[in-house]
Amino acid sequence: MLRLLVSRVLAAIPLMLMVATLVFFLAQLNPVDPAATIMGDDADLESLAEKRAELGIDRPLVVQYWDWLNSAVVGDLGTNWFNGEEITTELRDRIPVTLSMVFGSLIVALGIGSAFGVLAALKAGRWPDRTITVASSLGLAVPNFWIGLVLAYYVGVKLQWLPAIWPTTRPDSLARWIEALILPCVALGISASAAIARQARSSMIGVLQRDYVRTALAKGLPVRRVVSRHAIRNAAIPVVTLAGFQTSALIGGSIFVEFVFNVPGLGRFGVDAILRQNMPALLGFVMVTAAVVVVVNIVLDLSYAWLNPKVRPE
Amino acid sequence: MRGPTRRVMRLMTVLLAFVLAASACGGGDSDSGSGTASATTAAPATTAAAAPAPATTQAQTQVTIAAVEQTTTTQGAVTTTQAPLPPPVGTLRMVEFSPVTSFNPAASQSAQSAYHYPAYDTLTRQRNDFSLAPSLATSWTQPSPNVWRFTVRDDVVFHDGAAFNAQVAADNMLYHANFPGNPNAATWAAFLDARVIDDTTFEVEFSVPAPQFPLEMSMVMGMMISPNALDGSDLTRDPQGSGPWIWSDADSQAGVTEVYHLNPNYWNPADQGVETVTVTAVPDNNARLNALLTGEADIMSTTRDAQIDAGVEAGNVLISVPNFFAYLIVTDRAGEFDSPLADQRVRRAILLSLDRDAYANAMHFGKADSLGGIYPPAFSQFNVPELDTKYTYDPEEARRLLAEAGYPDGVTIRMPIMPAINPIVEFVVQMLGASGISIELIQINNGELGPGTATAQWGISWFRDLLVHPARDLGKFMGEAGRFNAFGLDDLDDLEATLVEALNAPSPEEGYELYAAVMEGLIDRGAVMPLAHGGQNALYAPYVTGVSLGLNMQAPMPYGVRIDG
Repeated sequence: MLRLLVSRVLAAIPLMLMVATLVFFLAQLNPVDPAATIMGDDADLESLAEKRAELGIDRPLVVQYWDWLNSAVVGDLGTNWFNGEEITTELRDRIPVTLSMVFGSLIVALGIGSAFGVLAALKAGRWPDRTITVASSLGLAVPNFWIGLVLAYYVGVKLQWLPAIWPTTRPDSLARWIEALILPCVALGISASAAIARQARSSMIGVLQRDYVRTALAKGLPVRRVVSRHAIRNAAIPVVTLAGFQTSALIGGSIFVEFVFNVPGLGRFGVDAILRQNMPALLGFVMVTAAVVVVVNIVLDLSYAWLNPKVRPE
Repeated sequence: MRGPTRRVMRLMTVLLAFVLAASACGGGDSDSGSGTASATTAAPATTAAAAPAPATTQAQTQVTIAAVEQTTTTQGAVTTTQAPLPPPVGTLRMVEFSPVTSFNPAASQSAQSAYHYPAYDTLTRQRNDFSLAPSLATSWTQPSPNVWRFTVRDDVVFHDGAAFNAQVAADNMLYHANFPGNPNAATWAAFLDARVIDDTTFEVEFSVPAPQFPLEMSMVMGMMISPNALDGSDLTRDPQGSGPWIWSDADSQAGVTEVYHLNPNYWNPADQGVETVTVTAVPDNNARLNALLTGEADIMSTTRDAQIDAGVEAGNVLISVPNFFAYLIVTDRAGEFDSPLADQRVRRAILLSLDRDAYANAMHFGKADSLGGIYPPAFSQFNVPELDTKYTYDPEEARRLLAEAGYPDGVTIRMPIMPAINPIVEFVVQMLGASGISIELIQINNGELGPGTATAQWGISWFRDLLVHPARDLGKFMGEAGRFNAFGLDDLDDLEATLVEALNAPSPEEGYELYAAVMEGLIDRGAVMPLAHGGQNALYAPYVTGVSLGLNMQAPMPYGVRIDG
C-alpha cells in the first residue's frame, strides 16, 4: 500500500508540471491586457507601457514562465497583480471555504441521490421510478449556477429563510458559516445528486436481482431488512466510486456557484484571475485545484486497493 | 407499506414541484442587472419612445460647479456643530463591483475610490450639490489663470503619526504627478510644479489654466499620503492616509472585504458616524442587489439601471449622479481610415440616425435622458438647452444627406466592439443600418477601447465619459495634445482656441458661453455625437442617513453617514 502511495505521488509531480506549463502558455491566447484592465480607459500609452514593465509582461514568455517556475518550486507562487497580496496567502484563506462547500455538496448529493436512487430501484418501472428518472434528467440538465440564482432569490431574498449571499463581514461562528453554506451546497449538489441517483438506481436494481437477495426474500425476511442489511451495502460500491469522481466535478462547478453567492473561495478567485488575465493568481488557482484532484484520485486508488486486493500492484 | 408510500409520494411531489417551479422561472443573466430571476431583456428597438429623466430620489439633480469657478471659498471646517456630536455607532457595510487594486491613490482609478475614502482625506470635498467644501484645504484662490494657491489645515495627523502641512501637500502633488503608471495621468498632463509658500500655503502651477483642479482634488487625485510613505513605499496593501478610519490588515481579506476602524485622532469627528466601515467586493450584479435586499449590506454601489426599480420597490433609496455620458466619437474626420467620414454630410447623417430615445430605453431601461447636448440639465452651468433638441432622429434626412454626399446606396464604416459593450454596439449598428449606414465590426478586447481610440486604430467608436467639467471633458478631442485627436487633425483648432479663451475668461458666465460654443462646434462638425446621459447609481437602505455621491466617484462617500436602524 505504501508503495502504491509513493508511486502515485511521484506520478503526480510531472502531471502538475505539465498542467502548469499548459495553462501558462494556453492562457497567453487570452488577449486581455492586464495592464489595460488595471489602468482603465483613461490611461495613456506611456503609463500602460510602464505598468506592463512593472508586471514583467513585457519580457519573453519563456523568461516569464521560467521565473515563475523557479519561485513556485520553493513555494513562492508570486504576488497578485491586482491587489499586491501573496498568492499563497490568498489561497490559504480560500481553500477551506471551497473545500467545505464541496464537502457539503457531497453530503447533499449523496443524501438526495442515494435516497431517490434506492427508491426508484425499489419501485422500478412504476410511477415513482419514472418521476425520479425525469427529475434526475432535469437535475443533470439544469446548470448549477442557475439553480443557485433561483435558490438565492426565492429562498434567500423572498422567503429570507437562509442567506442569499456570503456574509459581508467575516462569519463569527461555525453556525453562521454553515448557514451561509447551505444554499451554495444545495445548488452545487443537486446536479451531482442526479448523477448519483441514476447510479444508485441501476446498481440497486442489479443487486436486487442477485440470488442471495432472492433467497433472503424467499426465507421470509421483510423487504426493508433485506434492502438495508444486504442490498444497500453491495449497491453502494459504484456509488462511492462515482462520488469520488463527482468531487472533481464539484470543484469545477463551485466556480460558478461561488460567483452567484459571492462565496470567497477558490472558484471566484479563479474566475477573476481568468477574466483579468491575472497570471500568478491563475497559475496558483490551477495548481491548487489540480493538487486537490490528484489527492482525491490517490485516495480513490488507495480505497480500491484496500477494498479489492486484486488491483494492488505486485 | 401504505404509510411509507404516502410519505414517498409527498417527498417526490415536493421534489417535482421544485424542479418545475425552477424551470418555470426563466433564466437570469448575471449581467442583465436584475436582482430577480426573471430579468428583463430589452430587445433593440428603432422606434422612438419617451424616456424619463434620470431617476433621482435624493436632492442631487442640480450639479453646481460654482465653487470650482470661484477664486475664494469659505474658511473653516467642513462641518460645524453646536450640539454635542452623537458618538459613532455600528458598522457601515458597503458592497462594491470590484475588489481594490491598490491602496495607493496615485495608482488607482476613481472607480475604486470606495476603498480609499475611509482611509484618506482629500484636499477638497464635494457637497451633496457637487459644489466644493473645504477639507484638508481650508481655502483656495487662483492668483493667476495657471496657478492655484491652497491654504491647508494645521491640525491634521496621518495614521502613522506624521503631521500634515503645506510641504506635505506640495510633495503629494509631485508624487501624484510623477507616479509611474498613474491611471489619472490626464489630470497631471499640464502640471508644472508645486511650491510651498509657508507652513499652511502652497501653490500648484500648470502650463494651461485648470479651473477644474480644485474639483479634481476631491477625488483620488487629491488624496493626501503620509510623508513617510512618499519615498517609494509600497502602498498596494498598506494605505497611509489621515482619513476618519484606519484600515485593518488583520480584519481584511484581499480581494474579498476591506475593514476600517475608527481613527481616534481624526480632526473632524462629525465625519465619523459609524465605528467601522467594511467594503466588500461583490462582482455579480444580482448578488450585490441580493446583499442589499437581505440586509447583508447597507449601501450598494454601481447599481445597474435595470436593478433600480427592484431596489427602490423594496424600500431602499436611490442616489444617482446623471453624468454618465454615452456618445459616438469620430476621430477620423479626414477619412484616412474610412474615407466617407471625411465628408461632414456623412457625419451629419450618422448623427441624425441616432434614435436616442430608443437607445435610452433599450440600453438604460429608461433610466437615462436622450438629450442631444453634452451636459445634461443637471449640470446647470454647462447645459445648453438649444443643443438638447437640435439634432433629432431623422433617418429620411440622413439618407438624403448620404445621397447628396455621393452615397445613394449607403456607406460602410468600421467600428470596434468588445465584450463589455457588445449589446450597445450591436444596438448602434441597428440604428445606423436603418439609414443605410453599414458597420463592419472590429473585434477588440476589454480595456482596448480607450488606447485604441487614442492611437487611431479606427475612425469612429462608441465611448462613454463620466462628465466632470468642460476643461477636463472637452480638451481631449482637439489640438496637438488632445488624447482623442488621434489622427492629428487641425479642423477643430478654432474650437481649441475658444476653449482656451473660456478657460481664461474673466468671469465664469463668459466662460459658460464659450464652452457652449465649443460643444456646439464639436457636435455640428460630427466629432462628438451624444447618445444618452445615464446615472452613476447607488442604492442604500432606508435606515442609513447622510449618504452623498460625488462626480466621478461611482460609490458614495462614508463621511457623515450614520446607521439609524
